[in-house]
Amino acid sequence: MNSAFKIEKLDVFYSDKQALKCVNLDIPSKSVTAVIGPSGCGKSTFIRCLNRMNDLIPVFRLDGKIMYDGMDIYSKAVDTIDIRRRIGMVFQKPNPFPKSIYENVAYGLRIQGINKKGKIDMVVEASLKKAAIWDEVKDRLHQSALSLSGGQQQRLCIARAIAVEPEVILFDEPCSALDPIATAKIEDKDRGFDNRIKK
Amino acid sequence: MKRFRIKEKIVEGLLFLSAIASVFITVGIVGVLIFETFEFFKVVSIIDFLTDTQWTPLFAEKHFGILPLFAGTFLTTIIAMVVSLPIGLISAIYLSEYSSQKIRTIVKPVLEILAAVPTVVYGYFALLFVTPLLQIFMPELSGFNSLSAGIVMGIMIIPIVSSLSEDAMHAVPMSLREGALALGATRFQVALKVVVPAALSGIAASFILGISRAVGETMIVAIAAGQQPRLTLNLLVPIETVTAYIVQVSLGDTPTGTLEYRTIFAAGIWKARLAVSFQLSIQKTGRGRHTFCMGWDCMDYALNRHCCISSWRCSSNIS
Repeated sequence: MNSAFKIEKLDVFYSDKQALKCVNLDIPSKSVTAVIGPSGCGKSTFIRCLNRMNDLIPVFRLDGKIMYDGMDIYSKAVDTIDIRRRIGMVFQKPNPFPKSIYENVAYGLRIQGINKKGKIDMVVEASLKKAAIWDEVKDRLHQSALSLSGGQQQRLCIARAIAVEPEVILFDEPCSALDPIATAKIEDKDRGFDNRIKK
Repeated sequence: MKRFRIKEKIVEGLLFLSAIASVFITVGIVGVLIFETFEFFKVVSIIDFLTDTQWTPLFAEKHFGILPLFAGTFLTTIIAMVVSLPIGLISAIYLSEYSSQKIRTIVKPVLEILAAVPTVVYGYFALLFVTPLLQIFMPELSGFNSLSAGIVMGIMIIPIVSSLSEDAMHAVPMSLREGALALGATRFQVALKVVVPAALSGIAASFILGISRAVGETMIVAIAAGQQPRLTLNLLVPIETVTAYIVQVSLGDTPTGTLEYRTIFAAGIWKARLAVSFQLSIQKTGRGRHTFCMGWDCMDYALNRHCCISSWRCSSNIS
């Protein structure tokens, strides 16, 4: 089986504090891989390394190698923007933009310069359907995303991530803030992806 | 036991009195404005006031058309906005989205010092530095003109716009930026398409606050823009704003109770009305669709404070 990520001797520091110690891991492609552990053990730190989201933290420092698709994603030659587009992410807390439901999903396309209404309409509908939220929002696509419930917002964020067709989607405990019914809906969806998923 | 209650009552009464004092003062100011304006319009018809294109109450042949004064205020305000809104917003975007924490902690206070410079200093800066500088490129520019007054007023307003916009953008949660970055957005796209729209109510508030500051500004225009009310869009000639006129009459030897004296109330009340409509519009922008109300209370507070100050200024000019 091919591996999607090859992680070698990964050390992560926040200032002087070491958060991850010598992680070696192969993550297979076309499968779901789950990372589990007690709270504060570094799960989020780990998966945020995979799409370079930790770059935003000024005190963050990393040693070791993360190979994705044959390239070291922390090498200087790599385009962070491109990495993040190919490796999508859904966060712990739902974080829809304060825009309409439609524009939330369309955002990823618009920033790539895709502005054709027909194309965007199509992708928005398909993404919302894949995230199992289409039926609930199809009549109010142009209302604010902030009017949705927490579980709906999180599924909207999943739709937003799917819309740009990433090769990998990273889920950072997407259901930690949700009730069991919303959780079931989202987990149900996770199984449906044929992409590689981490959680 | 009973003595305690009496003491409590007295304390409460004192607190109430100090709280109500500002309300009375506001009512008093508005009352004086309305009374004097009423007296003014007994003599001058409101139609003449609003349609006549000449303002010459201090001359032998009197005309009471407010339009030239409004045109002066309008002109300097527009120039100030053209200068301050783009620069203020761009520096806010830089400070909030691009600069490191270190740069921000240095630049922001320095920028805010601009707002603390007395406006009389700005006035002389416009008259004695900016105007001569502009005259090198534009020989036809007169010594008093709306252009340099407007530009300097814009410089004065930059920190208001940048500082308040930056506060609003800073209040946008990090998770929104992360969400956009995780979709492959560049920093610029995050700033322009996520952070600015999310902070729009605060940014709009800073704009309106900047505009109302420009409309109410007195010293700079009184010093650098001239004292010749004229209905024009020419930036190169002397004009007069409403505030500058109020200064002119207040400092002159116009006897109280005369018609000339009452003109400043008539002019002032229209400005007060403008300030109120700014206040209302700013409150409306807060309820816009898809905007965050974060940082909103602080904007509202800033505006209220500003309105108090400007109406107080107006009244102190009058008295």
